[in-house]
This record gives sequence, C-alpha cells and structure tokens, in this order.
Amino acid sequence: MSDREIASEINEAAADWLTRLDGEIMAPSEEAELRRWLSADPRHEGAFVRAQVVMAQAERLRALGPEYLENPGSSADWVPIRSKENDAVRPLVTRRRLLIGGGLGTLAVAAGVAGVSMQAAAATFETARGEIRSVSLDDGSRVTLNTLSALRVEYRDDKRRLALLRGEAIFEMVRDAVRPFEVEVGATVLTGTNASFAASDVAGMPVKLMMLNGDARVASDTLLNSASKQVEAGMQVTGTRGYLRPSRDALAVTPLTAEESTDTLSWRNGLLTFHDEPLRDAARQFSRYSGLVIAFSDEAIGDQTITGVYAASNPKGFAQSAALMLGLRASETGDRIVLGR
Amino acid sequence: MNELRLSRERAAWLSRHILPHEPALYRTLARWRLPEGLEAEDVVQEAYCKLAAMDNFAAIQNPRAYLFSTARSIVLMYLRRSQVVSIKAVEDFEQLVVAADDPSPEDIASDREQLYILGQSVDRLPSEQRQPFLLRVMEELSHRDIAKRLGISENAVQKRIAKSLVALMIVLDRGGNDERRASSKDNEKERVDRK
Repeated sequence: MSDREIASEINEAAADWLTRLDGEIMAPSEEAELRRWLSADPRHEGAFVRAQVVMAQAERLRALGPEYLENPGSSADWVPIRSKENDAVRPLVTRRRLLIGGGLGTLAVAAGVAGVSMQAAAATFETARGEIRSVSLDDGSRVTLNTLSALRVEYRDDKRRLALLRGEAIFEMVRDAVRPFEVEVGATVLTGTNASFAASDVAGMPVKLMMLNGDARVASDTLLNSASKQVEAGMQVTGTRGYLRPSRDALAVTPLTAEESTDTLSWRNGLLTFHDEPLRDAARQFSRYSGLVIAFSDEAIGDQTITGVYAASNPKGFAQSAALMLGLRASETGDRIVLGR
Repeated sequence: MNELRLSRERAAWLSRHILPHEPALYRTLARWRLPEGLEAEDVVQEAYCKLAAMDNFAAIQNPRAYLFSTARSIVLMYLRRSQVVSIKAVEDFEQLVVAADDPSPEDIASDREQLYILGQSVDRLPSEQRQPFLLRVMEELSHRDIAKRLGISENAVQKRIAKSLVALMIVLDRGGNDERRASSKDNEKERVDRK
C-alpha cells in the first residue's frame, strides 16, 4: 500500500489554493498552511506553479488584439471580429469546416462544434456556408451558430444585447442578476434573465423561436400592432417579419414536442431531419450547407416527399438515398445533382 | 519573506515558452521508460518547480532545450538516489538520453492552435463552471462581484473557478487531447496504490 498522492489530487489542491489566494479570502493562518503544503513536497510547488502558468495562458484570451494585428499570418484561417468602436479587425481562433462522413443511409454524427470564439466588447460573428460555430460570451453564456448565420453581441452594464442578424442559432443564456438579456430575432425581441432557446431567421421563412429551458418575454413590434407574451420551455413561437404583416395576433405560440425540437435542432450534430418534406424544400435546406445543388428534371419530382435523417454536408448521399427510396435516378453533372426518372 | 506567487512576468514567460512544450515532453518521457515510483507527471511538476526558482529565466536562449535537460537531470537524480536501481540502470539511462532527444522545433502547436485548444476547452466546461471562470478571466471581476452577479456564495465561486482551472490543467498538458488517457492513468495508479 502506498500513500503517495496521485497527480490529479495534487492538481486539484493546487488549483484550490491558487483560486483561494486569488480570491483574497485567505486568512493569515491559511497562508501559513499554504506554505506548509508547498514545502511538504516539491510536486506540490510544481503543481502550484503550473496552475499559475495555466491561468496566465487563459488570460491570453483577453489580450489578443495587438499581437495579432502585427502578425495577421494567413488571414484566410481567421474570422475577423469587428469591434464596434474602432472597426479594428481582431482575429481570434481558426474556423474549421465541419467534416461529416457517411453516405447512403448512414447516420454519421459530426465531431460536434467546429469553431469556437470568445467575445470581446461589441462584436459580430458570422459563419460561412457549412460552418457551425460556438460563441462563448463573457458571462458564460453560449450561442451556437448554424451555417450562413450572423450574430451581433453588445454586452453593456445594464443589459446583454444580442441580435441574430440571419440564419439559425441556439442561445444558452445564463443567469445574470444584474443584467437581463435582450435578444433580437427579426422583428421579435426576447427578454429574460436566463433561458435556452433556438431561433431562426432564414430568408423566405417566418421567424421561429423554440423555448428549450427557462422562459422569456417575447415581444413583437410591427407598425400596425404589437404583442408580447411570456413563453415557457416547451413552447414555440412563429413571428412576423418586417413591418408589413397586418395580422392581429402577431405571435403564434404553440406547444413544442420533444421530437420536433430534436428534429429541428439536429443541425447541431451536422444532421438534417425530414418528415414528409417535399424534395424541393429539402434541396433548399441542403444548399445552405454546401455549394452542390440538387435539381429536378421536372417539377413533379420536386413535389415528392422524403422522410429521414441525413448528413447536412453530404447532398450527394441524400440525393442517392432519395433516388433509391423513390425509384428515381440521380445523375451528377459538374456542380449539380439532378434527380430524374 | 518570500512571495507565494510567481510574478506576472514569470508566469507569462512560462506560459509562452514552457507550457507549449509539455505535450512533446510527455511523449519523450514515455520513451524513457521511467523507473518504478516515478511518474511523468512528477517529473513535469518538479521541472516547473525548478523553473520557478530560476533567477534569470528571461536569459534562457532555448527554453525548450532547457526544459528537456531539466527533466533529464530530475530523472537522473531520482535514479542515483534510489536504493533499488542499479548503477548499470543509471548508466543505461544516461546513454539513452545522451543522443539528441530534443524533437524538432516545429513540433509545437502554434500560438493560434494553442488559443484554439484553449478556447475549445473553455467552451467544453459545464456552464456553471465556465460562467465564473470567464467572468474572472475576461472581465476581471472580483469573486465578490461574481458571487453577486450569479447569486451564489463567494465560496461557490472559488470552487467553480478551481474546477475550471483543473480541467484546463489536464487538457493543456496533453496538448488538447487525451483527456481520457490522463484520467484513466490516474485511475490505474489509484488501483495500484490501493494494493
């Protein structure tokens, strides 16, 4: 039997001591105890040093600006963050394309979120076609952006303002007693303290919100009428866009089934889920993720429906699968796949 | 009366010039087949210990080489002091590492990659830990302000930041992967210790 401490225990103790020292909550007697712990074993001091080094590394996330402006490197790798104040370009981390394998009938789950960004002051985050990016915000909240989406963030002392400029995103807003969040999606505004919700504002479709956790006040202001409702988890909202929809009830709040939410959010895993979806609409969805176009030799084919789960970055696999299921032929020519008879 | 903490400069220097070489050091340590009772983590922690005490750290021309030679001398000292290890074993070890063992300078994650790994690791923290950690690191709020902001005790703030830090310490020493390997190795050692 050995009473030798294992490395992880030492690391935990070191981190605990460091954060207590850092938090300025240590009494003088505690300080003596820390010194005793440090001199008890060179590994203790080593771990304590290392904890500080890792902390210093974490702090580098904060001070990125100047050194990266000097060494832009291969800027193709960087997603520029435009600071509202001075429009300086502050590249943070590389973006990587989501790579999903899989073909006929295979459900290949993606490696998860490809890119990560940290927020800095007011900023805009954009994703390219086929990219999924997770944005970590200063308060610990997180927003996951789908393909071809854009998010604007402006955290102030009195409120946390965000706007989904386009596309789809999942917002995980953590509790902040001092600052409520205020999220704009289309002409809709959500306010609350903490909640998780999915939002989409995709061209050609109505604004959609799904409350996943917590609750928020959802308000919609159009020129002709305004409406505001408290929306709980398990509900979804279909809103108006722009100012030209004179419907009396500007917000339709309906229940959200677990299945619906899983299906709609399967993009998070790089998947698209269809239930009796017309091929035409499915094709349009795929075009948001990749440049390969799915076309139809005649209109009627586009009307046929499909059900299933597919890898978003594999339109070819989808087309082949659809062909198989519907007795069609899929032929690839250049940058398009044509489904015909 | 010596200062408990590293100076900002030293901590920053170590994070810039030593921390990125840790994954390569671990790979090299694995090749050395360390003697019974000496773990790679022990060597690394002691190396940091020595580096923290160094007087003129900024003058080190080749931090990577310095780190590796420090690790080498730590292992040698252990071998010499150990009653169980034969003189031959010590000689064999000296022979083993006398050949240039320093991997190529390119074998290191770029600044960008390091930050990417860091960002990813922070992002993977559970939100209740990530929150206070980010408020501390990014917004530099005091523990008290964080406690007020999140509606929890200062004690809870400190514990959660400590947990986040431990998670990062595990991830960064393996270059961003092999989290499972690190913890399963600890489990293995735990089983051995309990015999």
